[in-house]
Amino acid sequence: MEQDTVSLILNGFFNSLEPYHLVLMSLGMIGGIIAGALPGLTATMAIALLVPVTFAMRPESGLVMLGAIWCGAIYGGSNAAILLRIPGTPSSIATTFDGYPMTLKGQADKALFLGLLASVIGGIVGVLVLLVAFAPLARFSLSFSKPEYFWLCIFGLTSIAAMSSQNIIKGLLGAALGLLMGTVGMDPLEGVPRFTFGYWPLVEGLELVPVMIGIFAFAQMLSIVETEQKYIADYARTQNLVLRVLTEVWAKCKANLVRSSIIGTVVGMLPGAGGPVASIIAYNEAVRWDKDPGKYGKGAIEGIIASESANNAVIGGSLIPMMSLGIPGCPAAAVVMGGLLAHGIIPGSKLLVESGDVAYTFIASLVTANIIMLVIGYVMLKGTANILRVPARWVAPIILILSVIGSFAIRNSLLDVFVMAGSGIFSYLLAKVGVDPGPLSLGVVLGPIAEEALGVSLIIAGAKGSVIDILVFRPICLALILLSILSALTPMFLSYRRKRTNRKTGVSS
Amino acid sequence: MSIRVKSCMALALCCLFSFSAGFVGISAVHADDYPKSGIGMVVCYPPGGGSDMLSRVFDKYAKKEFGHNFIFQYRQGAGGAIGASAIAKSKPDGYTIGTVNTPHIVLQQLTGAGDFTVQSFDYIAQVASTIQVLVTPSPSKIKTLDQFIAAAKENPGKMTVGIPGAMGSEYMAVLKMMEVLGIKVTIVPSKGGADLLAALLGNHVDAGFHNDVIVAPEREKMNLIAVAGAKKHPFFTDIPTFKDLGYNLTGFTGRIYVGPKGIDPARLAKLRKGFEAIWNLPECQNDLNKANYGPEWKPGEALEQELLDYKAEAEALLKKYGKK
Repeated sequence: MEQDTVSLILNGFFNSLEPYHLVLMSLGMIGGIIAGALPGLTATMAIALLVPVTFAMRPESGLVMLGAIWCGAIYGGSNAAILLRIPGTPSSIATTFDGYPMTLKGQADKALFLGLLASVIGGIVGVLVLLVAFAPLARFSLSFSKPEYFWLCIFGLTSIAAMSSQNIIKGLLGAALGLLMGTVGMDPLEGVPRFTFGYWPLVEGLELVPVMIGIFAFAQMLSIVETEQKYIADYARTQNLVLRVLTEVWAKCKANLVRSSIIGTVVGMLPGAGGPVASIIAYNEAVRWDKDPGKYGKGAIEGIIASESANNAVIGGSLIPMMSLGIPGCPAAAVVMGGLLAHGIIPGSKLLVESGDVAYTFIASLVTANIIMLVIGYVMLKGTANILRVPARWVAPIILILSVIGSFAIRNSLLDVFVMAGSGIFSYLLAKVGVDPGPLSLGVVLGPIAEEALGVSLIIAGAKGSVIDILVFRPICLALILLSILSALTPMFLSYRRKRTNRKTGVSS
Repeated sequence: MSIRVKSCMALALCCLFSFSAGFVGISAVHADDYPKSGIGMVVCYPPGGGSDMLSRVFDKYAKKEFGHNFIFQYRQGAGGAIGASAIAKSKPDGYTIGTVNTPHIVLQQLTGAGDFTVQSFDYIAQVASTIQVLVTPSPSKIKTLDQFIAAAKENPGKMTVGIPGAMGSEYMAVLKMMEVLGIKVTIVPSKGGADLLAALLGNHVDAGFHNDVIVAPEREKMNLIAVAGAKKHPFFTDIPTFKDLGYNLTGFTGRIYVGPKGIDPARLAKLRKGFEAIWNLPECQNDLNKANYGPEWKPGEALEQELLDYKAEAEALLKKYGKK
């Protein structure tokens, strides 16, 4: 790096330490964590709501605040995911897989702190990669085109095999139903409505956030009410929480942390992928590389680490294409870009040349924000864990009300509330036959991305005359295809091997 | 007091409040005290996007002109069709207006994506327009329009031309381009402006028909072939227009403000005058130019007929290419 880049970065870092900025970051952080924790408010919405507030500020101050909100919201999603099995933001879907089982085992505060630690480390890694290598990485992100996105989504979908090694058929069923749900709305290639059955308001399809709230929150509350349990889960405070978690993470999860943060950064820099895709792939990889994959889904700390570090690393990653090409890496980055545009700063290759001080203050402030998040997050999680002390008969209706409000608030549409309720009842019934919401949500999130990517790839293939050339014989595609095959087959192979060893030693499987 | 008396009193108070609240709604339609409160601004696209920022610029000066800032409401979806339908269906009392793009609303009506027609709106004005540019990726050997036409004729249907989105003004413009230039290309849709930009920078399509706003900041990374404007473009003074090269092709996206049909004429006139006054402010022009919106004024009165003409042309093109 040239000399003045280094001095710009250092200047930016000191700028972010201004008392005014520290106050802004703290306020933004608290607001962001709350917004992320509430199902129905996503990180993107929280940032969008506060962009106008930043108009009156200096550009760098506004950005500093937005960045803190962003980090806080992505972390905040883990709180609801762990305590209630409700992803506060779509990026926390994979956190529910092992976070909630930990809560059921009475380890809620440990899980929350793991999520915080992973989020902070992942966030810092993402920003550091951005600072060090954004130019070559931006060029790399351009080599991803529709065929590569298609295989990336397929790779993400293979994590169903990891999640439902108990019964892969049911997992596939859930994912297929999710894919089907994702097809309602505008055809991405023709721009005409489909599966709306003449009911015009469905033309935009089933909005992702109401569906998420439905299949996780609504369905979950229905089953809690059904079991008539007194409390959501037992909660006993863990002694010496910080020390225990830190030693355990240092002993067991170093590789996981590094790998998941890198995955988060890489997926983050691919425009149009984003937090949910990153955390799902990171989770899947954690399962694949583990010597004991059977412990996932039952409360493995590695699961939370993988998901939360990846989704916070996406923040830094998604700024890579935005800073150098003006292409936002995820929806939240797009809103931040809008905030930049409102100040007359054009993101793109000129950004660092013309407004380097603003840009580097913003990026450096993300590091500061993550450090602040460690403190603020720790204080807040002591409080949020206490939600488990509230009897279920209060929690369930409150969550249901929040689900309705959250679904409506997205775009002032009652249809979204009905979509939420409908998906919720659907998911509740599916759970009764052993189909979990995890694969269902994967289908809903990844389906539309995969379909558009496949469709465009086939259009190009039609023009160029060869599907194989366009869709298969490209280096990144081949790598992703190989990874997908490995990812799909490994759990099946391992469970087959386990059954064989059990049979040999006379243990009934 | 007993519970029964208390609840009767509460009920009576509630009735009184709601009754009196009703009176507030019955205000005489006087253009003099309109607007009494902030006018609702429906933005048909996600927050943080181009339409949002454009309306924020106008909001900055709205207080001076209309006495109140706008009250922003986001109704994104279906390429703007959801928001446009919301505007078309809202009460025509002058307190709900919104920003839409033309000719998207025409196409949305034709494809069934929109629950409205061109005649569902009262048109306030067009404030800006985005003009399309034909570009090729930097490594491409095609640098002039003649080379483009030659390459397309050599491999009919094999050249890929990307558009931002799926069914929008750019789609229609490329259909028209094929007619006017006498060539056949494959149109490749994308998820939007940023998506197509990535495809062009990554050399994943042979050419693109993109918006000036997005091309301008990164123009060194592409070859600009021709501009689909009526005259030379202020951002690209060195690039010829299709007209300059002898082809009658214009393609643009107009950013307009509309309200539902049936607004009181006095209020509609006030809206039109107000927007014109803001638009003419030098500070506003400055803001619009800084953000690369090409300010271009078209009075609302002319817009409806213009869009109906476009609709006829679009219908014919779509039928010809089998999309209807």
